[in-house]
Amino acid sequence: MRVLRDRLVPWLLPLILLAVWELAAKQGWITQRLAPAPSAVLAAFWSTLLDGSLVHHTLVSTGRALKGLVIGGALGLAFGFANGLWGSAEKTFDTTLQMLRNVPHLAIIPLVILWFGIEEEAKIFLVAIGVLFPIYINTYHGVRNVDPGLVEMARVYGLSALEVFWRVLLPGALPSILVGLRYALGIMWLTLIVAETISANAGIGFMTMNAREFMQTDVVLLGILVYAVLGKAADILTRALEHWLLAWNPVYHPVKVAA
Amino acid sequence: MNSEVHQKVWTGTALGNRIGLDKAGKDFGKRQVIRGIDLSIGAGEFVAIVGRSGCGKTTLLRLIAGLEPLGSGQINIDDAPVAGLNPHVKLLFQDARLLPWASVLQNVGVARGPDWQKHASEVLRRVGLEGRERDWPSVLSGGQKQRVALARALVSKPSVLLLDEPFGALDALTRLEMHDLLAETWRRDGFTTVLITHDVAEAVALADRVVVLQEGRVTLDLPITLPRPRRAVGDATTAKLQAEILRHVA
Repeated sequence: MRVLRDRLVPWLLPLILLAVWELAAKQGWITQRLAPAPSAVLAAFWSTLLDGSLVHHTLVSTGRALKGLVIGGALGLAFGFANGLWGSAEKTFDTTLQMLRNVPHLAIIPLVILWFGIEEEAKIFLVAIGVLFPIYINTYHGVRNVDPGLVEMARVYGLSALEVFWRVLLPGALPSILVGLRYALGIMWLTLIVAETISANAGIGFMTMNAREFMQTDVVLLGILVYAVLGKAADILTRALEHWLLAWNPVYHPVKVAA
Repeated sequence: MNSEVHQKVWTGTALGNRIGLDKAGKDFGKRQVIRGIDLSIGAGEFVAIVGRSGCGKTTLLRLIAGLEPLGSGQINIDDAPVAGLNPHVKLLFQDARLLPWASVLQNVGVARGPDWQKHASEVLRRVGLEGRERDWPSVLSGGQKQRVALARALVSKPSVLLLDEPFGALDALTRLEMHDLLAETWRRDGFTTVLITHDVAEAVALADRVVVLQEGRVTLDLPITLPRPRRAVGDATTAKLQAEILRHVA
């Protein structure tokens, strides 16, 4: 009973707010056009689901997000490992990367539009730039923080340079890389929202901007909710990834008492 | 377990390699850490190197292991000069240096090789960790971690085992257990052993010879002829030997 109550309490306030909101909308205290009732958003969800547009736009947005993540993430990993492992690479690239990192990547949108137009490349480029830096920095620090004693041990036991990378450096840097990934996922959605709002002919951002044109506030709210759900889903996936890949880390499993 | 068997192991028929240091020297910039050491260690012999912190004993061990380039002179293992890492020479570090993301079994078999899983679990049984193969290192105690590290060294059948104060961080009882395990393994496998320690009692309890190192020079080279196994710590002879060594360390 107590457990049940503890579970329900956090949801109490949101539910009351929703109820009040619904009531206020129904009673005409607030204008439907500015803030539609929760039931209207639900209806919008149902109708867009049935006509397939919701799924279509969500898939388009997710596809862009993943493409950008793969490109930017791969570059971030590559630079992170290269600069973490070789002093000469760090000397060559780190200063440049740090300068670029400090430019808010959304500030280059005008330039990106000039370069790529308003096509897919522009959005994917922006997402890639956005995710590159958190992945780069965390990979770099992860590699740097691998215990040099472990690398020395691996050499004493005859592991080749490639084996040292796969079996010592990569797993050693992984906790930090996954932190970078979680940051990157947040930035990924944020960047995509902005990029899709500027110009697109499909995607959640397009769906909401299009709905604004026709004053379909319910669809606008629905789009915002979809972003929230996508963001949460990405977070859940990374957490699962952490639990699976970092099972060795005492943080992720109940410590057995050493016998 | 008697001394006769042990004598047989380390004189002649041993698996161990001879180690010869000929005016070996090493400096880090202006600091001369090892100053022309001449030392000859027999095949299968157990030598303990004792000294205060900063006397150069760890550097000496790293030179023998081939982890540091030699500054001057020469170090031979059997008749080959040391040039880099030698697959027959294994090192036990002060910290166990286990891969935290690999299971106990994978840590022992870190060098892989054919049938490594079978060999690794055999050696784990020998060090008393049967049944812990799938555990992560984080759930092991300090002594158990060093047992895994010892098993990892043994699985490659080394002919020289170098130990850099591996028991320094363990509690007194666990340390005694590890001494027994090491002595027993050494007696059976016959590898040449060099143990670095600042614990004079540990040196006397384990070694055939205790070498005292001071400011990069050997100041005492004392044979320990106490009968094995040496369970009786604290008798008059042991105390006398410890006192003599301590006089040189201080």
